[in-house]
Parts: sequence; C-alpha cells; structure tokens
Amino acid sequence: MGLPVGEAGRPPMQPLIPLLTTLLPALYALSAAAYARAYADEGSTGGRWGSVALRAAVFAHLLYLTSRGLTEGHLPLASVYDFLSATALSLAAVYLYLETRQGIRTTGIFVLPIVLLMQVISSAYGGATVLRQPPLYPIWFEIHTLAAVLGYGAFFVSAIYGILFLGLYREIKANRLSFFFRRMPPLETLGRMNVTAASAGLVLLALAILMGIGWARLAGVALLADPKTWLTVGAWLVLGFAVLAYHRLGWRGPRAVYASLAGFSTLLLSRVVTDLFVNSFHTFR
Amino acid sequence: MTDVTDATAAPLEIFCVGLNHETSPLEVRDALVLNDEEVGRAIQALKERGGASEALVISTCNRTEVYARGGEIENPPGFVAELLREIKGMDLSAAPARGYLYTYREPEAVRHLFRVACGLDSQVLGEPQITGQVKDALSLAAKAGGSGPVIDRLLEAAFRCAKRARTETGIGRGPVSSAYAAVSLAGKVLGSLEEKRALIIGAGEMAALAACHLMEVGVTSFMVANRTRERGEAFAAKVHGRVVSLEAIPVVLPGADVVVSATSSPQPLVLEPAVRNAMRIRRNRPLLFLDLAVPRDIDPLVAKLPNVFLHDLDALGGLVSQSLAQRRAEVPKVEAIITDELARFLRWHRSLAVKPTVTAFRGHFDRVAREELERHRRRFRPEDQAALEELVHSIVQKLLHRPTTRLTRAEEEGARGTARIDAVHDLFGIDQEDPDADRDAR
Repeated sequence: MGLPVGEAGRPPMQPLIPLLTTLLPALYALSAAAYARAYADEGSTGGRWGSVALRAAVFAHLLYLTSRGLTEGHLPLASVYDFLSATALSLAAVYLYLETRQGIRTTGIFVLPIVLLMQVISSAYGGATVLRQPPLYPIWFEIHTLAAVLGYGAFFVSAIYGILFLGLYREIKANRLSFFFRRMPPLETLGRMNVTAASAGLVLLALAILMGIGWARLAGVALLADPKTWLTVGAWLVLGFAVLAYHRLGWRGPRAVYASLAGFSTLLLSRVVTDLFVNSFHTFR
Repeated sequence: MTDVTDATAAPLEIFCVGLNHETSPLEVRDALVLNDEEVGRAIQALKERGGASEALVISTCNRTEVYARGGEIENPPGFVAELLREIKGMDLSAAPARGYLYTYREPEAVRHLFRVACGLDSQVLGEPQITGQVKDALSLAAKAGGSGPVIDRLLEAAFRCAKRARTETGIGRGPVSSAYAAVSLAGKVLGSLEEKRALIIGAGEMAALAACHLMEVGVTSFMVANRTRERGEAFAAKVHGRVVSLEAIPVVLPGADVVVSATSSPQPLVLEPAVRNAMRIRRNRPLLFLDLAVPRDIDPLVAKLPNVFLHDLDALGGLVSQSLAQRRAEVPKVEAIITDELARFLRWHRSLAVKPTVTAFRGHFDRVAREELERHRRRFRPEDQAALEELVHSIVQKLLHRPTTRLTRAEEEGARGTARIDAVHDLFGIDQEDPDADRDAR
C-alpha cells in the first residue's frame, strides 16, 4: 500500500496515534459514566451527554484506526489487541445506531463498560504491528476481516439485549417490579433491539464468510480443514434460524432470545477454540 | 426554606381563602363546587363589595379557593364565608365548618397558588389535571373582569412553575392509580399500544377507567364482554368497540393483546385451557392480562404459560406505591423551584413601584440621549457644544413630561395604573431587576 508521507518522511497522522491511544479510553469512560447517571437518575441529562461523548469516541476511534492503517501500511487487525479495539468500535457503533433508532438511552450502561474494558486492554498492551508476511489478495482479506469484526460487535450487542430481555421478562412474570423494571424500555423493544442487532450481524458475518471463501480459493488455503470455519458457519446457521424464526415464524419472547444467544455462544466458542486449542490460520499470533 | 420576601417591598395586597381535601370532608367540598356562573358572581362581589382590583376563583371537586388583590376587605375568611353562604347556601361561620377555611396572605398566597399549580396540594400528589383547572379559572376570571396585570403575571408564573416541576423533577412520573398502573404495565410489555387490541371484561367503573387510559395511549380496537348485554353495548359504544358475550371470550381471546377484567363474578371467567389455545393460535405473541377484580377473574395458572403476563390488583398496588414514594421524594426539588419562581415574581412586583419605574424610565431616555450626543459630538464646533447639550436635554424633558406625570398618578389608579407601569417596562425594555431602580425604591 502506498503511504502518504509527511515532511519528515513519516505518515502525517502518526503523531496522532499516542494521543488517541490515551484519549479513546477516556472518552469511553466519560460516556459510560454519563450512561450510568442516565440509568440511575431518570431526570438527569446523562443520556444526552453519554451519547455526545460516545459519538466523539466513535469518531476518534475511526481516526485512530485510520491513522494506524496509514502508518503501518495494513489493516490494524494483526493482533488480539487490535481485534479487541476493532470489536470495541464495532460494539459502540452498533449500540449508537440502535440508540438513535429507538431513542432509548437507559441501556448504554450495559454496553459501554464492555467497550471501555476492551479498549483499555487494547490501549494498555497493544501497539503498532508489523506483518511478517502481507496477505495475498489484500482487498478480499481485509473486507473479510472487517466484516467479521463488525459482525462480532453486532452479535455482542444482540446478546446484551437478549440478556436484558430475559431479565426484564422474568421480573414482569414474577411481579417483581424493581428499579431495573422501571429503567428498562418495553420488553417488546428489547426483543426488537436483540433481533435487529442479530440481523445486522448475520449480514456482516455472511459477507465475511463469502469473502473468506473467495480469498481462500484465490490464495489456495485449505479452508475446510480449519475448525474455525465449521464453527463459524454453524453459528451463522443458528443465528440465521433465530432471525428467521422471529420474522417468519412469529417467534417472540424467551424462545427467540435463547435461539440468538445460542448462536452467539457458538460464535464465541469458535473464537476461544481457535485462539486457545487448535492450530488455525485464524489464530492471532 | 429560603426567605424570598422583602420587608421593604411594596405589599402585594393578595390573599387566598379556600378549603381543600385536607381541611374539609367530601360532602362539604361537593356542596361548594362553583359552576361558571357562580364563579362570575363571586368575582363580581369581590370587586364591587370588597373593592378588589383583581380576583380569581379556582373551584374543583377537591378545592374551592378565592384569590383577590387590593380592596378594603379587613376579614378575608369572613368575607369569603359570607360569599359562599350567599351563593351556595352553606354556612361556614360556625364550628366545625369555620375550621374548613384556610387563609394565606401576601407572598404565602402566591406560594400556595404555585404549590396548587404544581400538584403539591392535590389529593394525588403531582397529578397534572390541576394545571388545566387553574387555566380554566384564569379564563373565567378574564370573562368576569377579575383578571388584571398582577393576577395575569401571577398565573403566568404559576404555569411556568408547573411546567418546570414536570420537566425538571419526577413529580409527575409513574402511575398513581391501579387503572393507570395497568396501562403502564401494558406499555412496558407490549411497547407502543397504538396497533394493539384490547378485550375489556366487565362494564363497571374500573373497567371504564382502564379503557379510558388505554384510549389515551392510542388503543383504538376494543371488544367488550359483559354479562348484561345492554350495559355492554352502552360501554362498547363509548369506546367504539364491539360487544361479545362472556361465553365468547375463548373465541375472541386470540385476537386480543391486552385483556382487562373487572367484574364481580365469583368464579374465574378466563381459564388456563382457553388461554393455552389462544396462545397457540396467536403463535405465542405476548398476551397481557390485567385482573382488576376481587375475587380474581383470571385463572392464576395462566401466568405459567410462556409469553402470558398476568397482573392482579396486588401487583398493580405495588407499582402505585412505588410511584407515590418516588413522587414524595421529588417534593423538595419542586419546593425549590417554587421558591425560585416566587422570588422572580416578587422581583417583578417590586419593579412595579412608581418611583423606581419613573427613575428607570427617565434614566433610560437620558442614557440614550447621552450616547447619541457622544456619537455625533465631533460633527459640531466646540463653541456649539453647550447649546447642543441644552437642546437635547430640553427635547428629552419635553418628551418625558406627560409620561412622567401619568406614571406618577399610576399609584392612585389601581389595576389600570399597574398595567400602565407594566407596559412602560415592556415597551422600553427597562430592566425589571435593575439594581439602581431597586435601590431607588428603598
């Protein structure tokens, strides 16, 4: 990749990286604190401020990844810390989309701490990466990777809303109308947020799988020999069934949520198995 | 509480005499509710016999209150008791009725009105209807010639206070009646209720109240099941729904999203097998039962079915208690808003005093003249400067002579004079909180 070069012979955005590495956790922390206030106090303007801080954080995060990409000459997704940072961005972006669409700001507190944790780990331990061997057919590879990470983020958000749904469902069924009950959006909305995020994840993961298959054929990689491939396709099928059941079979309530959570668990399992137990070309090294 | 009153300020000359749910029994309050014509008569009497320059009467099922400004009424509770005896024929002068009336004077009358408008003085804490009732009272006062600059400004401040209380605090949040709690719960389960269908079992007061709340939140499709068909039809006509027999409940159940039941039936009217069958037909879409009956109309076993939510009066009562506790916790915040608005109102009232208004008014013209003189001074020769200043001063004095004289007389002209002073503030943008004007007033 040809890099634009600054006056001193280095990419012009390079000086931004250390600043953004520190700024990102700070912005996410600010947003999480504001959302916590919005959850705790119905009358507070915390939700609005949380939203503003999160928009700033997402923008800064995009700038950070772009700067890294331009500086390092490849997509900044070469280490587990890069993966965490990109997933954090994906989670934040999907949450922001749902928040804007539904106009609900009391659930940010359940998403932002996870985003913050991922970014703190990434900022603390990650850094610039050098590829030992740049991938063949980088466009296929990079679209595959980006779509997969965005898909993971969407499924993560879907799982969070699924868990919130189950919590609220049990409270209402048991007539335990607690503080959590008062602060949550309607059950029907939580169910819709769960399935909307899962649908987005499904499309992105389908794209990731297709681009992965295409790239493997071009690069001559034995895709079918990798257990990660099978686990991911399995997760995609379970999640696809959950979304289909919601839209076509009229599944509502815990059954639909359990189906989407099963899909997400399979996906998570595929990531853990890939990184810890098997020899896969998907493993971060 | 912060003392916002100022001993050196001109008196407001406002009093409030009234009775409410805390000071009097229901039958007395009922007997003293004034209709529009009676409110008009009361205002006329306050103006003509009491010499009040402005008057307002708030009369609802929970309170009858008289506010008046100016005049020579030495004994406001006695005057108002006599007025109510004349209009409603009820004697409040002897014990125990004498104790029903309360009296607030000067800033405390204003504070009381603000508390009323915010719902702090209501039977159901924070209820919003009172603000509309106070608006109606203002409109009646305007028709009967009771409104004036101070009452108008007072009510404007009261409405602002109520609006702030609703937006800045949680005084109006949460359901505070079982019927409304039932509807809130429906919204919590089903989200928007606009496309949803309701089955109302029973046609009594509780069922009607719940149906009314459901209509308010957008439910347009109703089915009414009632033992007496005629009563059911009359109720169905009110909610633009269709009536069905109690026996037809299992048939219509799959088409409902919310079922409100409030009958006096000794046995349950909706049994578990019917609900199980309905859930199969409606492909497990959520179904909410709100059982407002004692004994219960819905078989408790239905709560065990997935996606079926059953709530009875005990559960709804819990929700109401929570909301009331939350509202009570918000009272200090509302009181702070009231204190703030009271201080603002009193500052405005102080600015209406004649002397500081005249000083500020003349000062405003002098300042404009000085500024214009300085701006154009260089265009004139040095030897002409003194003559120029004299000319400008003379023009300003001549222009101000008549307005100043009229303003000075405003004090003797009651509400008309107050309106004139208020108009001068408004027309010339004289700062009502001008510290100089304030100092001059003392």
